[in-house]
Amino acid sequence: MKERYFLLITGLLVSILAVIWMVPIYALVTTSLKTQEEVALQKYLDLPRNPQFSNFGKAFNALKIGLRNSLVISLSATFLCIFVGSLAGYALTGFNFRFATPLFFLIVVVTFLPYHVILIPITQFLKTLGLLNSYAGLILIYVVLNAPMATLITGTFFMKIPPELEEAAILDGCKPFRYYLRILVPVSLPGLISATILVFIQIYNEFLLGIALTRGPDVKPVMPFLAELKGTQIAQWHIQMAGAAITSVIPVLVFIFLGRYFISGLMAGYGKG
Amino acid sequence: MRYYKFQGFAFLIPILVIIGIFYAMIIWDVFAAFTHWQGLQPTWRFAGLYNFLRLFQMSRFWVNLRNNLLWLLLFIAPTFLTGFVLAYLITNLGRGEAILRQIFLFPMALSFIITGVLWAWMYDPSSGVINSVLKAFGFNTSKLGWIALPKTAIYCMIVAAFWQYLGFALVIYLGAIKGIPYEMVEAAKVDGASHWTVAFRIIFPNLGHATLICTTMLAITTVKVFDLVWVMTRGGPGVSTEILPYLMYRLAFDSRDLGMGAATSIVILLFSAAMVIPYSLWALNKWVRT
Amino acid sequence: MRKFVNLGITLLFGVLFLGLVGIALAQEKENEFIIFHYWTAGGEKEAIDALFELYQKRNPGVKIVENPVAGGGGETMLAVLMSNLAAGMPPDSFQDHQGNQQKDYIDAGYLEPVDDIWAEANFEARINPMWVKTLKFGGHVYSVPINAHRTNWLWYNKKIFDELGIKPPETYDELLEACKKIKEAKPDISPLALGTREKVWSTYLYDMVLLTTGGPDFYEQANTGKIDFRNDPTFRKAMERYAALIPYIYPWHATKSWDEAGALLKTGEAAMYWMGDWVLGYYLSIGMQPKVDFSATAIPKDIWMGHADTFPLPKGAPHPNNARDWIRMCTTPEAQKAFNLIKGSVTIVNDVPPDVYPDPYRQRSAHDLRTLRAVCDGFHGGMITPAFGSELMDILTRFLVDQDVDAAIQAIAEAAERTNLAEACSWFWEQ
Repeated sequence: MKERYFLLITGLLVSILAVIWMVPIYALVTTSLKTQEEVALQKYLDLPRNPQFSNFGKAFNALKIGLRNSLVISLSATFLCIFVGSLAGYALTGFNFRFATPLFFLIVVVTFLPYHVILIPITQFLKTLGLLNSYAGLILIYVVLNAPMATLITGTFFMKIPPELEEAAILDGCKPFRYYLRILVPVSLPGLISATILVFIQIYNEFLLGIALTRGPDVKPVMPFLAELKGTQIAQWHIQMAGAAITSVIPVLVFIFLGRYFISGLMAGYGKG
Repeated sequence: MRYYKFQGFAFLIPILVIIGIFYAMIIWDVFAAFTHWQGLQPTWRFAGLYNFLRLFQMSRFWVNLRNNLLWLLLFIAPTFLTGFVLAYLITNLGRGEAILRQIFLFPMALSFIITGVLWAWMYDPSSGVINSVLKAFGFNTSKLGWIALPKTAIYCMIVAAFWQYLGFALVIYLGAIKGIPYEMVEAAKVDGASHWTVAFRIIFPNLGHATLICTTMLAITTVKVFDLVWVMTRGGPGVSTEILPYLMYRLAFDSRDLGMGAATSIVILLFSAAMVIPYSLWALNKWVRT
Repeated sequence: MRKFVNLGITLLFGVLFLGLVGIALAQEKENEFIIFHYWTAGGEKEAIDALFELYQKRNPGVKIVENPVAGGGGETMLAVLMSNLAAGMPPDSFQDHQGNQQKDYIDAGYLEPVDDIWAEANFEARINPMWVKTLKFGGHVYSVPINAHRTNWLWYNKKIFDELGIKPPETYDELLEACKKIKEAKPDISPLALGTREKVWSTYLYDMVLLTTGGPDFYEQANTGKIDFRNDPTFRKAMERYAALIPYIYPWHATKSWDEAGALLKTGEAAMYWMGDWVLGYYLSIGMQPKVDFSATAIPKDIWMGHADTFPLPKGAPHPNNARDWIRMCTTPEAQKAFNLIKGSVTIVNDVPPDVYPDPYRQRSAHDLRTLRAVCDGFHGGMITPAFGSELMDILTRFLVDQDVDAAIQAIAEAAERTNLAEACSWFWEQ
């Protein structure tokens, strides 16, 4: 009885929290459907009088090249980051290298640097490689900037894997890469997915490098386009909010897609019922 | 696996290359911090500690440092603790995890340049969402300036970042809880343990790796909230919400003083390293090495 | 699992392929014109597009590569430009302002003189002498201005003014009077709107009090650091006048951007707004009618204050002939007219008659620009250095909260010393 009472209160609490969490999104959606005049009134709780779905059309038109570019860049860079990062994380935790711990810390420290200050060497680096204003260049930079974080997260998750699993694999004559692919990854899927989510978000939502390393719209990611929607000496908040709704679709789809793999994993744990 | 150490080392090569590139740029940055690079032209005249001295003499720097510490203290702990509690409650409920996960994770799908504006609208004192709701409940909101007042502005921003990142902490803990053996919890429940005990005496201590990741990621975020500060207040009113990464950007680009900007970034690195390394060592020893 | 790996390998190859394509794209095409700017949406975009159209007609074979750089009214563009220039990859032109904003590029050796283009077009004779003063460095000019935004406009809610019988203010004292009258009659609304989410607008009021307290010569001296901030009595008086306005300013300005603050005239929460002429376009787009809902007056009425957007010529531009032709085109009345009619500013050349503008405010602005004494505004106009401006903004937004005149004066003096303001602005006086 007490348990049911607890579940009821929990359910209520969590639902209320979820509703509160959506309130800023409410402001986003209502603004995206207003006219410029309505937005100027700055009554953010009010509903639009005459929903302007054309805002979404205008925003999409401006964003579509960026969406294509971001899909290519973010998905590739995220995949490479997680791949490189988890391999490195496995190498650091599963092989008892003596230099593992100091290397691990070198990696951690690097993730704390705000990259804006090294914008100039980054530009020079890509220019030397001839990769400015190209998909490969942007992907390369995003991988360089985010793989350390991927290593950090996956490595920490891998540390939790019981060594018996590994010993059993060795006894079976399993080579490292196979172990990685067939056992380690499936078992730590929730951890890998969390890392993927975070890295994808960092790359997709990144704004400064997307502008600085591109010229013209050919390979420019979507965030710079989104920033442009508002205008400098004008104020088209309604179009920009519609654009924000559109650009958030891709990460949400990624979250949903990854969410399917969240449950799997070989450890029969508490949350699996 | 010792026999396969060579293969293991091969796995490290990509990240070693990446770290190499990164540290090469950091070395560039260190050099720049010791030069007289003021203005747009790269200037490599050695300046000793000139930039650092000027930086430490700015009272603004110390305000920034204080703000960074506030972020560390007030953003990290509430976020991961709430994330854990929420993960525990949702796991307990047994249903609705998928949809709840998406709801709390959604804020992360938005860029800071949007959440900054959204929360500026939430906090708008005349007709923003928060004050409108409070007014509807009969509260007097005439003194509630939120981000308009230097005293409260920074806390408002921390709340906005909390809103955005709770989902991440939630997801990490949801995943980690799934790794807790069912029997452990069952045994405790049979012994009559309350939810509080189960959550904090049994489950939480076994989630050391998740907590380590959460706290480290959130600490890294306090360095990355640059976009949020930029869009929401530009560090204002005055410099009350400015944080070191933003100061770095302003010095490097707005004031065209890359020497000082680089010096600030070195301070950020040292500060972070001093914080993170002892903490991780302690956490690793305590929680992970079983 | 296998599916995942397959997906990954496909992506990898896809990436490599696209990377090669990207490298092909990245090669400099032969006949291009690369230009950076931040007119990214709506009317401002249409204005620059009009210029592009004109340019395309003159140069049909050239591919225009525009690089809009959004964010903070130029803040992001500076970072992008700096890294491009430092890496040895200048664009063919970019959007810049004048004075100290441009001087940094010149000092770094990134710009090339365009004295010949000015001479060809007889440009110097066709513009207000103030522009020459702020665009000539050591006897050379490096850019061509395309427009003139007037910033000493006071926009006001006409209905409130008519109701209370207030005459549109043309001096500081009249402004303060109007504030008091409005506050008395309507205590619920703020007489003066202001938006400091982007802190730069706090310097606009600063410019106004300097100008109205000491006159244009004092204004120029103060902004170029030629006065003793701590002890100058006129400066103190100006700051006290600023402080006197604060009780009448919208209290929550730190939460509003410039457009949200301007819109307060529409929501009825404020009565007056001190802002540049671009807010006219905004008011029109939100359904306010000129001379019915709002109108504008200039303070002081005998000075034209504002700034211009300019296009400089970078040194080592990849397509110098295309760049020079763009700059040449911008000196023509045709180009100036095409751009400014849409943009909401006025032409900087005096040979376009004021009656081409559909609204009375720009007609007056154009007329005033060719007849009155003019000054450049502080931050955007490059009277102060960006470094000093950055600190000034912090000081003023703090001042708006604590109203401490002594602390502000002290802080401004220190900032001027720390950033070597007087020395950095010495070029202005060595004309």
